[in-house]
Amino acid sequence: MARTIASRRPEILVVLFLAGYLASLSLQIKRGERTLLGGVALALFSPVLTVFHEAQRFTREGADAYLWQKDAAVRNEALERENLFLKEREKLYESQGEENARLRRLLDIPPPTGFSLVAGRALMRYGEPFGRYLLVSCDTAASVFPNTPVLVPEGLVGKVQGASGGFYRVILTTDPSSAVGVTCQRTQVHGVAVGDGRLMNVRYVTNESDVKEEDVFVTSGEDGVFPPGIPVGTVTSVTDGGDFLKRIVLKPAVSMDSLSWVVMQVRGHA
Amino acid sequence: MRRKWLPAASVIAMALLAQLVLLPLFSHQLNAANGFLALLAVVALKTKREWGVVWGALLGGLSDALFMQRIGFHGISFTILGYFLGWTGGKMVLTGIAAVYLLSLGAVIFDSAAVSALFSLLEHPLAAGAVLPPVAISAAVTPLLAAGMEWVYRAATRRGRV
Repeated sequence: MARTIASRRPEILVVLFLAGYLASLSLQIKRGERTLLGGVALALFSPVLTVFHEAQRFTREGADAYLWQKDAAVRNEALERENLFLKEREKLYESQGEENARLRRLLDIPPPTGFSLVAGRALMRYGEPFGRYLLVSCDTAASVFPNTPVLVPEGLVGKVQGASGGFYRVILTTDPSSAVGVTCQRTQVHGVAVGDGRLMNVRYVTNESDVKEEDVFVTSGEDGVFPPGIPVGTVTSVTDGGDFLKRIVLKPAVSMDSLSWVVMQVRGHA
Repeated sequence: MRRKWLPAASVIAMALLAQLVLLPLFSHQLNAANGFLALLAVVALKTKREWGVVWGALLGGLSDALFMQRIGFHGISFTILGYFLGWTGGKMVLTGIAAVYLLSLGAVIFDSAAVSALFSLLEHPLAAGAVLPPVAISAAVTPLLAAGMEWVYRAATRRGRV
């Protein structure tokens, strides 16, 4: 008998475990979760179960946190790139805004009667040191002839000397070969402003004339080229000369170094 | 130095690692594979029948505690599996990992069928559409896990003999 039991030990174990589990299941299902057997089983396994759940939660949360951080880093990089792009675009918009403002100011210049305004882009200055020229690009159907005045809201720039295609050569008022009929805005003293490269000299003004520093000279219109009333420059120094004529130095009203857009006063309608 | 505990400890650690770390990482379902069944397949084949039964009962209870609402479904299934795997290990000489793979595949199928049948009998009937996809996933992953454990067991046995 004892030998039979010993030889059948595995089968007996199987039967015992199966019976135990079946009893456990039956009791759990019949009475719900809070059965004695179920409670014992759960009490036996609950520490392991808790460790399992905690470890699983720790692993999952750690992985989620890592993925979230990685995702955040990727998004951060994308935002940095976008920020850089937007900053560059903002700079572009700022420069476009400034250009727009300049153009609006150009449009505010009232053309004299019988003239119309044609805007052109100032491309580059050239000709130094022998000349002072400005290359202007302008796509217009109007005829821009030589000697057409070129100006900006601040004052006179020069006059058109030649044209080729859509490009115009403008001789600046500071060119030594440029001469403009001018008059003092305060005392109406007349003279001729001749360029000296950087500044201008007003000639043919007698020593008796009333001209002081800070006086503004504007075009007189006597030369038949420039309409009257356009600012040409401000007196920076004035001295009496030995030939009965004053030595008057004018600082141009326009900064020739920072021209971007100019307008040309064209006779007739553009 | 001979370290007998090393192979068993290695496969138990591997089962725990798979169940606790790998499965939660790659699947939101904890029971996408059963590391304890793989462990049973590896261990029971190397023990006598009675120890196979004990391992089966223990690991089955653990599986129930983890995966099921009630204790006993996997317990019954694993106990029977432990007996037959122990019997198989005693009767046959299994040299290849492929044998472990195939036996654990059969064990997964038997376990799924047994648990589904018990659940249908004792709780409520299960729709085949709800049972088959997880069983298919488990049948694909668990035997691989068992094969991996067998490889680790053999490697640890060799190392333990050093």
